[in-house]
Amino acid sequence: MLLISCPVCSITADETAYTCGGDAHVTRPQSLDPSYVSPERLTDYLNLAPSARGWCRELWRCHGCGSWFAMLRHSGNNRIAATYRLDEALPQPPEEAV
Amino acid sequence: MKGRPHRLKPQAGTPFGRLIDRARPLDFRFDGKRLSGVTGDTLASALLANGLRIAGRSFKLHRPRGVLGIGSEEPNALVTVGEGGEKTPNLRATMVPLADGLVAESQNRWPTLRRDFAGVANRFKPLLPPGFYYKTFKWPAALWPFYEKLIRKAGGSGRAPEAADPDRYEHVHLSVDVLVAGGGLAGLCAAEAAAAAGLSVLLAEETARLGGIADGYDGSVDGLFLLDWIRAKVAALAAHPNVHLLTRAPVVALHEQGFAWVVETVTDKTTADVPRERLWKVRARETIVATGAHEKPLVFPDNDRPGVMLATAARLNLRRYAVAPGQVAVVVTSGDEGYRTALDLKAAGVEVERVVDLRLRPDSPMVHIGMAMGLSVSHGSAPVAVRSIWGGATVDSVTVANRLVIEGAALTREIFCDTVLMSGGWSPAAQLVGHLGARLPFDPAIGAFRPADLPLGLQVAGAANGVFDAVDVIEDGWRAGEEAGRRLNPKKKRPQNRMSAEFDVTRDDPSEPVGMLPDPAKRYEQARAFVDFHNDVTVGDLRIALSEGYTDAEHVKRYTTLGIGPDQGKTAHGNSAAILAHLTGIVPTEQPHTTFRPPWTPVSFGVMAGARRGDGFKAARRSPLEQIIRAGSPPVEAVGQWWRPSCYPVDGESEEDAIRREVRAVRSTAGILDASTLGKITVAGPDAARFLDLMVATDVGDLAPGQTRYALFLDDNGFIRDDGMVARLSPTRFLLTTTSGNAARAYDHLEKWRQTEWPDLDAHITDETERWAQVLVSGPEARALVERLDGASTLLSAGSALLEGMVEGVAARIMRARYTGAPSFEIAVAAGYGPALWTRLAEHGATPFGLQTLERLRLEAGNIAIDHETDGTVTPFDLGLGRLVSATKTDFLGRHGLMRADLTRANRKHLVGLVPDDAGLVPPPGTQIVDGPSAHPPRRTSGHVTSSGFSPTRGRAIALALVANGRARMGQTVHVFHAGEARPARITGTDFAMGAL
Repeated sequence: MLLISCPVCSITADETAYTCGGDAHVTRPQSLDPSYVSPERLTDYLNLAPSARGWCRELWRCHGCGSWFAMLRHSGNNRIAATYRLDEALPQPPEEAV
Repeated sequence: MKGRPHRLKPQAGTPFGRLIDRARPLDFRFDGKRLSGVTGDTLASALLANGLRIAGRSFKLHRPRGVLGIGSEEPNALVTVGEGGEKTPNLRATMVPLADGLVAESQNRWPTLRRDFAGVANRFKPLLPPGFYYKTFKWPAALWPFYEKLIRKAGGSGRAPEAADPDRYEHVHLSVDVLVAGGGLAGLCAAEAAAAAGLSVLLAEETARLGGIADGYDGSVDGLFLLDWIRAKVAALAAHPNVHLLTRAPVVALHEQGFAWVVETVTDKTTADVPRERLWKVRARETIVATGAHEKPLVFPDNDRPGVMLATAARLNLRRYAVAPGQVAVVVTSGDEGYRTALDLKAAGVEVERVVDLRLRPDSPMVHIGMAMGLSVSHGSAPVAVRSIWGGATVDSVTVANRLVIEGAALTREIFCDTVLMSGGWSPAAQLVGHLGARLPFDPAIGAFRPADLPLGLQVAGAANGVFDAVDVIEDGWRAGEEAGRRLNPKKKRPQNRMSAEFDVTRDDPSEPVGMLPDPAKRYEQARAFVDFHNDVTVGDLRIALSEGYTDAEHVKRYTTLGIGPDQGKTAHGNSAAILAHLTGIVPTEQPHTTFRPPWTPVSFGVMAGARRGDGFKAARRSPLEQIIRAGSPPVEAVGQWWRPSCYPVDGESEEDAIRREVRAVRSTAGILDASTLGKITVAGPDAARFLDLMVATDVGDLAPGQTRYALFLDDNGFIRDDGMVARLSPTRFLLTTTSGNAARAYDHLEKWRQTEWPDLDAHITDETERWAQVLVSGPEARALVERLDGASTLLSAGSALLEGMVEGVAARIMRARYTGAPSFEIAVAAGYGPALWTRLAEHGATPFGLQTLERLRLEAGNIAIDHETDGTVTPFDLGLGRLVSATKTDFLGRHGLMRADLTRANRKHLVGLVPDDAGLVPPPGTQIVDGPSAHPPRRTSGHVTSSGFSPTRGRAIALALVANGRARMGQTVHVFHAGEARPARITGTDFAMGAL
């Protein structure tokens, strides 16, 4: 059970008070140029999630304030390095080995 | 198998029977037999005291088994306790406190414990190798149903109760600085040091008492006897304001970020005020695992006979409950624990025939004390057989052999005894550490897994850390507590915990790690040398698994069932690792352990559910009309979190009759439906139109105020998520209606895209669902009915699809709809006025109709329902709703997805009408559609029925179905596979009300 702090309303609560929304910072190709999206880009966008072991960025929604924010989490040991607003600069994963 | 009772006579001045009160006897029943124990007993000690050697039978072979251990590691004495709904299977008798009137039953036996029918399996042990089921029941396939029945009957440990559990359970959330798992010496010292550092501490102990197994040892610390020293520590901790002590509360799971589950047994009998069990959901900044160690059994042929017991367990049974394991004992040991037990037995008047020490040249204080006290000791010997003279279940003799044989046969000697007490050294019980993904490397020095490389915020102390001598355990506990203090409170100066130099506790000569004895035994001996008692896994089974190529620890576990079951192999995993390493010839340190997963001990379903059962299982949302529409107790069904009436039967009508009557009323006059549950979401702001045009497949930005349009919501793949009406209230305000079950999800979906993909658009989304009570008025006389409401006729004369104004003196919204296939109006008023509106319409003669009636009406009209006609893989074009997909917008969710090759191919499944030739045959939704009636299995299906029902209007059964290339197959006959038969049906259009037949 993750313990998550919402960067918008700053509440800290159990994972059950949030909803995970999959990978963050995914580029939707048709938002960039709706006139033409190559089938390969479209397939990448629709079907392929990175899902790698290591540091990943995910979208989470706080049930308190209703905001979507991003979380920098290590998928191997569930360590959370940071949660941040979507309009913030991206925090970097910690250097030390985990 | 009843022997002589084993309770010692009370003797003044002996340390035996410390926990029992002989003056207060208790009656209990075991397998229907009335027995008596005394206050303070556990069920296991009471059974032993009554001379009951066989406490249960093993899982696979149904071999008779007696009590082996003292705590939650017990693999043999599994019992079912209680009656009716309070029945709990798979409890370890060693952990069940005896209570007056307790009812317990043994498991895995039929018909009785002594004469077990399936015990026959034991005779055919060679026929039951590992992987037996996989190997034997594969062929012929036609007999599988027969095999399955047998296997199901034999499978499972214990029987689940059939009645509902009447007891109450609760959940508690707690946030502490330090969680200490285990209240033995190490745990107490860790808690003391952490509390001294100013931290809040929760100490959770699995058994009913603090102090662990320290009462099995003599000696003194700080000038106090060990037990008195512990009593003083416990008293100080109990008085400490920062410390909370829990007993009968094992930590069953550790999760990331200091989250832990502690399951506390509050009472064995629930009363109104007290729950039976309590689940503590603990969030700790630091966790200290001080869960102690489990004594390893020795592995030798027939080491599982009742009467063979762990040495320390026997000693604790003596000291705590004054229960002796037998009259004549042989102690076999690979360390000093055996000597302690032998000395205790001697003091209690039990004859100790021989102490068999596996070590060649033991040299430690205990050994010398033992010899000096006159114990008869053999060094460098090992047990090789346990026999019963008359072929009975228990023990009459043990044969020991010389371990070192230069040439020829080993020197053996048979020693007569009625109990064998074994000690193979200690195995740290740090499985909790594994819950967090830490691996426990094998430590050859102790012959067991020992935690290392701990994740942040986790420490291990005491015997769980591989530190076994009392003095070291105390030091290790303090070290862990102080370390927690340093990490959480680095500035605070803290007192040093130090014991005075004068301690008098004997130190042990480390036990020789011994897995299998004597080393390579004969095949038939290996097949009787048990490693995992609960699952009947022997050395021979491990060898078979390895020879068949299962070399990985995880594979061996699955193939042989080693280490599974209620005891999770607590007594087995140290030995099995040593044996596997020996058999495969790898370096023991390279031997991996299987994954340790929660829970540490079995957890009842009741405590997991807590208050979330019955009405508390799921929150219910209530329509503002609920009191009126549910007044006559109509049948209801769950739609999302709502409960909606299916129909309103009158005068004892059946449900189907009520539905048909209501359908006819709507088709001929007018009916009313509670539509308050429909999702109502407003989107407002300067960019509302632009935002909605991105979210909705249908064009909505071109709507004029007052106009409405039926629209589809797709996901970015192009599949339908939801449908509903989009109405423009004003240039900058839109109203969306969604399916009842989908309102919350639809709102979340809109918000997610607004916040994450289009944060620059100025649009605000509000879920107004519960603000409005809404009534659907439908039927040819609907307009006339609505116009009888005060103010409605002027409003309707404006002619727009969406009208806002005053009706009966309150603000109302009226929207035209055609979902039922009849002229309809949805009237919405503020929630509080809903009952009045409904009553007024009913007084004007409208027939109330329910959800099932609405389903039937929209089926007749050929309209789709989300989650019936759609399943997340259906596009608008599949449903023939391509006209609802904008051809002009350059981007909306799903536009590019819809253009993918697979979503545009010709032979996708299309929505069609289906008319069975048999007018009374209603194929239920999900019925498969096959092309030919006589084709042999496996039959090819070309689609399935999505909605179906009897149409009162057409007087026959009708259905909607998704059929491959359906639109090109109008008029063709297909077959619906219903009740084992293929029945003909004709493909038609979908609009049955308009005469699609």
